[in-house]
Amino acid sequence: MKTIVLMLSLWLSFSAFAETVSFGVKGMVCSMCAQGIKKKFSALEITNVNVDLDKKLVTYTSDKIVSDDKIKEIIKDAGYVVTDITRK
Amino acid sequence: MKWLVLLFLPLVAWAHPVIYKDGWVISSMTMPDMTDAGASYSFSPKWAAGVNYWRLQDKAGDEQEYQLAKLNHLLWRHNGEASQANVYLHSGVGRSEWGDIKDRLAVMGGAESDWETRRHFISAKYLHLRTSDYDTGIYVGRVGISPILADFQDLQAWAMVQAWYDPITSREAKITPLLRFFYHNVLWEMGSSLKGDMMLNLMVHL
Repeated sequence: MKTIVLMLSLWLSFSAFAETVSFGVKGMVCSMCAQGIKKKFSALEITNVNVDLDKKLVTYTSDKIVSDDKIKEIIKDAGYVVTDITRK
Repeated sequence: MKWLVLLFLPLVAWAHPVIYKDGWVISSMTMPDMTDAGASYSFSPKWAAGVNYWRLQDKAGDEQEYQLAKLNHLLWRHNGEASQANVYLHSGVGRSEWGDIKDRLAVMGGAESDWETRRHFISAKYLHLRTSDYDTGIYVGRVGISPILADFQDLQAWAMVQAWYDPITSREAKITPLLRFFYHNVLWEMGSSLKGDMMLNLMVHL
């Protein structure tokens, strides 16, 4: 029972601090070229990066806080331009 | 055996000469009268340095070999809402050998431009090659269409046509219909020219 409570607490803690970040990426038309985006976020231990080529949208959920400036730097290094960044 | 070795050497095929920062490109292009092999490292989103090995079989049937150190530059990029356009510059210097002379200075320079959407692709490339024996150009153009718009993690497929002309290997342009596939960070292409010459390309982004 204690274990369950502990795990539930940990899960709730994670949920409380995790945020879902979405941002648009102009020019993202080639999936192979866009692999660089996933690679850069993986280096920050953010691995659940979802890339939607139709909407030109990148989304991830993580408890690691990455600033808007850092996101723009990552996307610039990948060769693209960031549009709106939203956090939930 | 030589074909197998060349196929899996790191060759530089015709795709973006500069990729994301800290990205490596290992790729290959193999045709009966030409092999292009190399590796490059993008130390910024605008610059990449690498090495290439070229094997050309000239019109007389003699084989020429080149080893070049290359520097590629992304001169201009337009990131549109649903498209991307690029202009790249190529440069290289190294040695070449064929016949009795083993160490000719070889210098290469050129430009490349492409435009692509998720469904359409067009590119043009010009490389100028200069040695003590040659002062000539290589011209490559491509158009392609992707019949199915696959998701990011799925297999992508393209149908393309490549036109290639270089006066070293041939007196006339080679037209090669080909299929391009990529899955995650691996790209491969297979084609056959209208004269039946096979073309096999492989590229990996690391």
